[in-house]
Amino acid sequence: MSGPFEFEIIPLSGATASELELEAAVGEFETEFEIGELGEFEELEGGYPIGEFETESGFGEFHTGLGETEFGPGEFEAFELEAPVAWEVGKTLPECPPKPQPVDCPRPGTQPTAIIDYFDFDRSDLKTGCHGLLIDEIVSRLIQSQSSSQPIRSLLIAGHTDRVGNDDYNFELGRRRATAVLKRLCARLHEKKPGLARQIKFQLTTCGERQLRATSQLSRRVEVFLPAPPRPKGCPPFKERIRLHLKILVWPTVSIPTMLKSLRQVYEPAGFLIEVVSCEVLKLTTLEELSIGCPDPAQRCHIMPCANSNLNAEHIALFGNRNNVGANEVAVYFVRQTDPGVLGICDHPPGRPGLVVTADATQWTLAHELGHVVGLSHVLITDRLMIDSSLGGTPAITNPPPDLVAAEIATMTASDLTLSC
Amino acid sequence: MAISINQLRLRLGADEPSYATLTRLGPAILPQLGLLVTDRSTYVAANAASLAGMIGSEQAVAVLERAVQNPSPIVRTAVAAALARVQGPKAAGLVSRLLTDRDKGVRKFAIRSATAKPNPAFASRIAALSQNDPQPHLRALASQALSRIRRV
Repeated sequence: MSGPFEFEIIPLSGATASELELEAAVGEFETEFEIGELGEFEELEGGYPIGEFETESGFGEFHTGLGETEFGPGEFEAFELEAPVAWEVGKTLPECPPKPQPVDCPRPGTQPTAIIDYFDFDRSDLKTGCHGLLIDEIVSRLIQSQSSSQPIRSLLIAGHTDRVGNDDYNFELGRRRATAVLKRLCARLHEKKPGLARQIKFQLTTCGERQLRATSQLSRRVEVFLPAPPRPKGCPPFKERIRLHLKILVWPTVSIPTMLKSLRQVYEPAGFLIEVVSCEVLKLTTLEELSIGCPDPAQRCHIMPCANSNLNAEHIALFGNRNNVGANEVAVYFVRQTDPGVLGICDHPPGRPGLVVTADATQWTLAHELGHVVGLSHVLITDRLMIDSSLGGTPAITNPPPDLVAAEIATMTASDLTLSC
Repeated sequence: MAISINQLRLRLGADEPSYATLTRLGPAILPQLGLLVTDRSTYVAANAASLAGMIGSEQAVAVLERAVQNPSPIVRTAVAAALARVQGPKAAGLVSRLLTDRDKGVRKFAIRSATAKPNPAFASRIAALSQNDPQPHLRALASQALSRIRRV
């Protein structure tokens, strides 16, 4: 393999820049050299190091984060990262098209499959947390579709900016953001399903500042579009879909990907495709410990399946955070705890469908509460998703994954929140 | 109605414990709640504290005194919130103690409980929070609480 070529160094959750130490081997010279500890690098940009080093074969430039790294003119046989396991080195990305097909910016109003927003100002680096989570969701969807009768063979990635800066600059910045998503997506796809990336046509575009959103943070985004399923076939094997938006105040103990995987284990065999459209980290310190007490003791409180009234001001305020969330889409709020304590609760103000999941939630709590949101009530059977509290709720589920029965599926299908494909 | 501690634990560990139903079991379950506030599951322990507060009575305060020793801020937050529902000097002492807890969630609900049961003895600590709490929203909450307490 000859340079220059590209690779990625991806900081995983919890990693800090100062932990990184790199070693690389230059094949031609059979020489190992140590790039060094991060402290030796000249500067840190956005928390990631940028550095330069010399090899016996020439001069190299080192730029981590999701930046590109070019080595030359030497040939590299190996590149090893000597660092805690919290870091990983991506391989070169031979599967990814170096020049994806350029296309026009999608028309305003076209519904994206995923919205990756909150890029830092004037930056194209992906962030840990929500960005990786959404990209992994797209990767899973691509892989899963291959075994269906409607395999996804193309996708469009569109980069956007806020209004600061001139048109030309923002056009280029949007392209860089879209490229960063494309690269990460390709890398993850290659990791999870080697060979699949070659079968997918990647289209890339930049809209610059042409399609602004309500705030600068929401405008600084990349939108990913999967092709609309042909009608009237829909999206077999699914009959309907539910669009979720994650709003994270506190990361739960059971990981969100685990909760989503568990959700799909129950909903997808019943014919419901789960789409995670957006993910937002909400800095709402005051609501991390949420009061869900009913303000009016004379009125009924927490009526099953989901109350829309007698909610306190704090509870209502949380559900006011609906960036990106469409009218018939569901917001999922992750908080530390509630008073009184629940693992999850589906009570929501009228017209703002959503649910709350707390940090101690089980892998099934999200699925259970979503079941309430789409109309399901508790049942007195322990191997069902909607297991009643008197039996211990989802911590007491027997024979997982828990079931949905035909009558429940019919109720869910009738909900406004289950959308046609 | 009698209920075993295992049954109580099961119900308090549910996604949405039925506090209304469990409250109807009355003070008879407070000894069990006293044990459950040290449960290995902080969720169960916190909910046991909440339920004790809903049941009320002198014995409930004893349960909360035990719960407040829990190292988990989740449990102490539940205690701080439960104290809004119980009366008496011992309860006031617990509120006063939790106003200076290191966890912001605990302080938030302690301030609210102090507001629900205004007591001049809280004034100096709440005044300090209104000036010095590192969380701006807690400084604001403490200021509101202070004006209410001073009216008492």
